[in-house]
Amino acid sequence: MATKRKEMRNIILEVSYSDAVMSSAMTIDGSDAPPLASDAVTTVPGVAIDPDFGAVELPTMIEPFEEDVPREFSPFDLNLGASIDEDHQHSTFLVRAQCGDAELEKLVKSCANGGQVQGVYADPEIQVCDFDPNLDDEGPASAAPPRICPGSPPLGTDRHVAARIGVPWLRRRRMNGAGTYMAIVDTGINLAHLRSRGRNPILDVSRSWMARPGDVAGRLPVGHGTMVAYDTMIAAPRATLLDIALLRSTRSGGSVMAGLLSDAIRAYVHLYRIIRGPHRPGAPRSLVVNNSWGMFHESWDFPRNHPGRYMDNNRHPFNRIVGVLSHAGADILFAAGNCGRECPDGRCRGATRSGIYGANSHPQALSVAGVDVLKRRVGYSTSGPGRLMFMKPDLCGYTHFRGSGVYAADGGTSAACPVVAGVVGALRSRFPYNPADYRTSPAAIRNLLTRTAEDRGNVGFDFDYGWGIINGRRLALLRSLSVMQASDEAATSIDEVADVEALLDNIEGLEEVPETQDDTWAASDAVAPATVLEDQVETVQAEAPWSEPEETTETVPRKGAATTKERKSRKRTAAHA
Amino acid sequence: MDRVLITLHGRIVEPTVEEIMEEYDVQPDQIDLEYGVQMIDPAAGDYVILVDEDVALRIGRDQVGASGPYADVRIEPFGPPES
Repeated sequence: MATKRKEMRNIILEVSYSDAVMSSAMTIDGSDAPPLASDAVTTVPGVAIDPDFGAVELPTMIEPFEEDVPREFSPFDLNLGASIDEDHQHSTFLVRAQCGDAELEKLVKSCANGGQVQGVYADPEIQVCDFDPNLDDEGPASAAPPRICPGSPPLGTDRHVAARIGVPWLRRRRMNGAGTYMAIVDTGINLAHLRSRGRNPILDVSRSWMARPGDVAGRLPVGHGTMVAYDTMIAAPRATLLDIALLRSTRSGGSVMAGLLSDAIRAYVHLYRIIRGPHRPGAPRSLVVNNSWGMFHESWDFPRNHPGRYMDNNRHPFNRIVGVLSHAGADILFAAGNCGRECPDGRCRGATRSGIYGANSHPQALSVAGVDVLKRRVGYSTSGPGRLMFMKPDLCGYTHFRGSGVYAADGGTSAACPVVAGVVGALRSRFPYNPADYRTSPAAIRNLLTRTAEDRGNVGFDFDYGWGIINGRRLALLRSLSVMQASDEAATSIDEVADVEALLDNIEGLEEVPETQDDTWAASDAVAPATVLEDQVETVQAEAPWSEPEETTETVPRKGAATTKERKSRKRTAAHA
Repeated sequence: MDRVLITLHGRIVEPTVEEIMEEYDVQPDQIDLEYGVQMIDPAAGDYVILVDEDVALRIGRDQVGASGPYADVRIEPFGPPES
């Protein structure tokens, strides 16, 4: 008959001072610890002391107050500076041991009898604290997909993103980018690809700019710039694209498109001429500039403390011209970067602290971090603070979704930035830049975007999400850019937006948002993992029935829904009653 | 030799590269002629050129209103991140 094996528990014993224990103790003054003698601790039979562990001194604390004054622990207590009693005889010592359940019971009893053993504690197994991708920022979420990292499959589609940022609401206000230049400062745009993906882009070839002679605007290889252009069109399909093909050199031995800041200066001089140059009647007046690029590592720059450094120097010529272009009326957006602490891009070389470099943290530009369609920060999105301006990033856009078809996922903060740029373009089609009206200045628009953002992370600003996630729906509800028009009953100020959202159901005409077969979330839209995503975005569907971008905002009453006229009539009847 | 940026203050209004070379004693092989002169702040009259580092150091040290050299940093897309 097989003998039942006795289960041994790992325990820690707290024992009082003895010369034998002291001789093998790891003391607070750093003396060496020889192996613990087997008879050093008087304990119950059957308890196996681990001689290799030695003993660890646990010094007693000297209370700064009289002992007869009762004092409860408080984390806000400023008098916690109790000092350590350096007399070893006043210390207790921790030793490691193993025993069975029966011995454990006896040990506990011996503690109460005042033996050498003063305490018995569990010694549970511990492990390396690996990153748990199932933990999102709000705690365990086992049902949620893992945190997005480099190489993750796409989560959701551009349709989910459109719903998240409030495109249906923007459409109803005719906020679609019309009358706005959208400069894509990138690797170049391929119009044929955009058309093949159902977009109908408008490109101003004459105002586009090529860093490399011989390149033709709109006909560059399908790549990063095409993805960026596609993503601006989620919210601003009617914006006039400017193809500013800056990143057209290829690193030796690699395939990544790259460029130099000196070329970026030339591109910005070109944009300055556009915004300050003569305008044809009917030509766009507003200019949104998307920059989904930057430097990945400090080593790319001059050494620390060099006066000509770029990353933390607002006197650098590129940082200066960013300020000049913003002052001239351009809305400038920069991606925050892909050096997030959880899973940074390999080019970051592990440097993830204060990684928003140079113009990507410019005070006169919007710095855009990335979240997935479940509103969780993606693990590679760089956190602040910024190097030029401390409080960066400013806000978040959605990323890592299936969209342009250029890559498996429109990913990186490269995609988050144009999603936000599209919303800015849409906003500009309703509130175009007017040099005579400070309320339309880029600074005012930045304030508007951050104040209407959906707060995430810590309340208010934090270095992961900035002021929150871009929210086009709140912007669409604005009827004025001015909080000074409170006397105008029709005006909805920024501060009133939250209240208005709570009253959405009572806004006339809201029920008339079209709801067709296309409005439902197709299972194929949710790429991976589909079932989970469907659950998570169910609320989005309820919030924002999707309609394909249309030039007109004609609406069709939902079957069975009351028309505006009918509801007004009912209200009047109710009032009379 | 890597070229660097240097900012100059407008002693000449909208200068050409040739005027810059004469004004600051720069040889053709020391300056990026194709890059030319880029006006970065028209209101302040400041512009930028791309030159050899030793030239930038000399101009930055000797010429009033000049500042630099400044880094001409490599930049790359923040596209789909690499593992």
